[in-house]
Amino acid sequence: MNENEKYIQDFVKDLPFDAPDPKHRDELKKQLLNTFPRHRLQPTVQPVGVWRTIMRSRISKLAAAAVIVLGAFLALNLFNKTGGMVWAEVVKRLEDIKTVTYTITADITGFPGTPEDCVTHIIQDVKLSYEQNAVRIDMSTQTPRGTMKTITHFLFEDRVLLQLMPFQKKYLEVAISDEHMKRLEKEKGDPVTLLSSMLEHDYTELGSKEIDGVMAWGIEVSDPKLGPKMGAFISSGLFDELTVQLWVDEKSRLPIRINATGSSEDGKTSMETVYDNFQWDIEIESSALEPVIPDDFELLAQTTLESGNEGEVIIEVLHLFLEFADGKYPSNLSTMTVANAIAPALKKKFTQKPGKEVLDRLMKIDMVSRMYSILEKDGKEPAYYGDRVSAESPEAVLFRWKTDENTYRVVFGDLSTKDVTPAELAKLEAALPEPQQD
Amino acid sequence: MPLRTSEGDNTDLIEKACRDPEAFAQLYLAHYDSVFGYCVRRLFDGHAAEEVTSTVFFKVMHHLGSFDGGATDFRSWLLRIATNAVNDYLRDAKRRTALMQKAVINTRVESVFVIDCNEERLERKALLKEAMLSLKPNYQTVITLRFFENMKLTEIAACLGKKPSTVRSWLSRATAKLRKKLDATMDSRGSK
Repeated sequence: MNENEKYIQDFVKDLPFDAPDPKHRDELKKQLLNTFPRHRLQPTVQPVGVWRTIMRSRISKLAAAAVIVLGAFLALNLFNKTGGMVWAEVVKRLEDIKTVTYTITADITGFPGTPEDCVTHIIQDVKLSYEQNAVRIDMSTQTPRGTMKTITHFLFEDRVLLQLMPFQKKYLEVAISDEHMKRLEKEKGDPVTLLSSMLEHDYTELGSKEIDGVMAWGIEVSDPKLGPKMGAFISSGLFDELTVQLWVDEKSRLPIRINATGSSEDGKTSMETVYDNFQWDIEIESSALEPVIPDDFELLAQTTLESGNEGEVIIEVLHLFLEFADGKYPSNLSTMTVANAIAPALKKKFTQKPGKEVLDRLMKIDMVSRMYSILEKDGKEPAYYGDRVSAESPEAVLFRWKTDENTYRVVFGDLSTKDVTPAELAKLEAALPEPQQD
Repeated sequence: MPLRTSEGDNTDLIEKACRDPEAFAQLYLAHYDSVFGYCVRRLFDGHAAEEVTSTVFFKVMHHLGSFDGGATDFRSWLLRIATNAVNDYLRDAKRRTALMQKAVINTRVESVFVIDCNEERLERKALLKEAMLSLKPNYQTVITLRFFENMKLTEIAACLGKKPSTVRSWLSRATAKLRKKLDATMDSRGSK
């Protein structure tokens, strides 16, 4: 122990601090037990316990798992419906709908963790019941390396999404805080609310055309912000560019097809998606909507979606780049760009099974774009400069957002943070280097 | 009192606490005082420490299933969560200012109502608080873990997920800075 340490040790000796208050201890215990996750009480749930066994899969699967969680957003957004204009009749019809099933198919090139030009084919069978407040998504993800199947359930009352991987005998758990749930409920997501959202945009009428022998009328909107309203793998602002077409049966006034194309990183990643096979108001057996976790399934990863800490979540993800990618940050915060930028570094780093903690952190990648959008939506004026700032510029502003009327939180290249005034921020941003040219 | 744990005893309880509220309550009660103790030594304020302790245990409840007993011990895991929660709390500039202001008031109140505390200790605590809260959060963390939790460098490193050499250099800089600030404050008060 050196002289300074000895000095501090002597200085802090016998200092008086507040003792714990039994009242607070008991009150907190009550609060905790009242909110203990109810789904964990199921006797069928295998003790999730201690993380000694981690998935054997390579990092490509980890990255896929991280993105797959995005299924949450579809499920979260299924239960709000609103009205429209000339399409009001369609919207009105949809408001009376009690159940719907449909299929989503998508081809994604440049999916994080897959080889270049490899096409990942995703099929989702969605069953949702407005009456039972329940949703189930059976998803198959096919790559040249193999197929991964998952079953996703959203437990609305428990604020928990469960995703089962039958072949791997594992499952993921995403808890949603009440506050975050309220936020998500305000946003739109299913075909019903997607239509409303599109109508709020400056949409283009596509006119009439025949689809599968049915005359349909369509509209088109191009806006990456529609992503979160579409659910599944195209939610959460995965792509920098997004165009959505929605086609409605002229007779039944119900949607029969949705087409979406998306791209990011100047086309390095692209996606073509079709929603079809819509069946409205068909009977769905309630057992299909109830999750069953077999005894021998193991919890693979666990995370929580919360509100109010959006900037911190983004910083946590940027820390992955500081630790694993030599401090070279993604050029922007679209989820696909972030996932693609970190994947090579992770592959290099984890030749063997990675720790569970890393997986939990990776799951936050799919929240990045969403978190940024929330900051924007809340008027917190976020700005990100990953195209010009790396860890080698510890004094340059990498990211910032407004924390109150006269304060911005600035995150520097070395990910240290500082709260500054608008005038100080202007000075810091004036000193930013020019964007790097590829 | 520093956080203590016996992993052998804890493991079964932790596993059970993932799915059994009663077991979780038992685990909570076993660690409440320690977590609060750590928070109050970081924040120097009982109400703030209670707020952060609440945050810590809600996080523990939601993430207990992810605790990897093979990779870290429960004490380190709890302390890491508590450290992050305290640092998040302190990131708010307004809260930091309020805590600093409370330092003076609390010390005065304590000196009036706390019979078994002598003035000298309360004054020392006020000085420490002022100096500590002006340090970077990572410096505050290593000082608290080292001098209040009595952890070794390797234990602090494991807890924070850093290399022991990094922690050593933080501790060296932190103690030097803290001493300088304490000396400066004492000098200025002494000269008044």
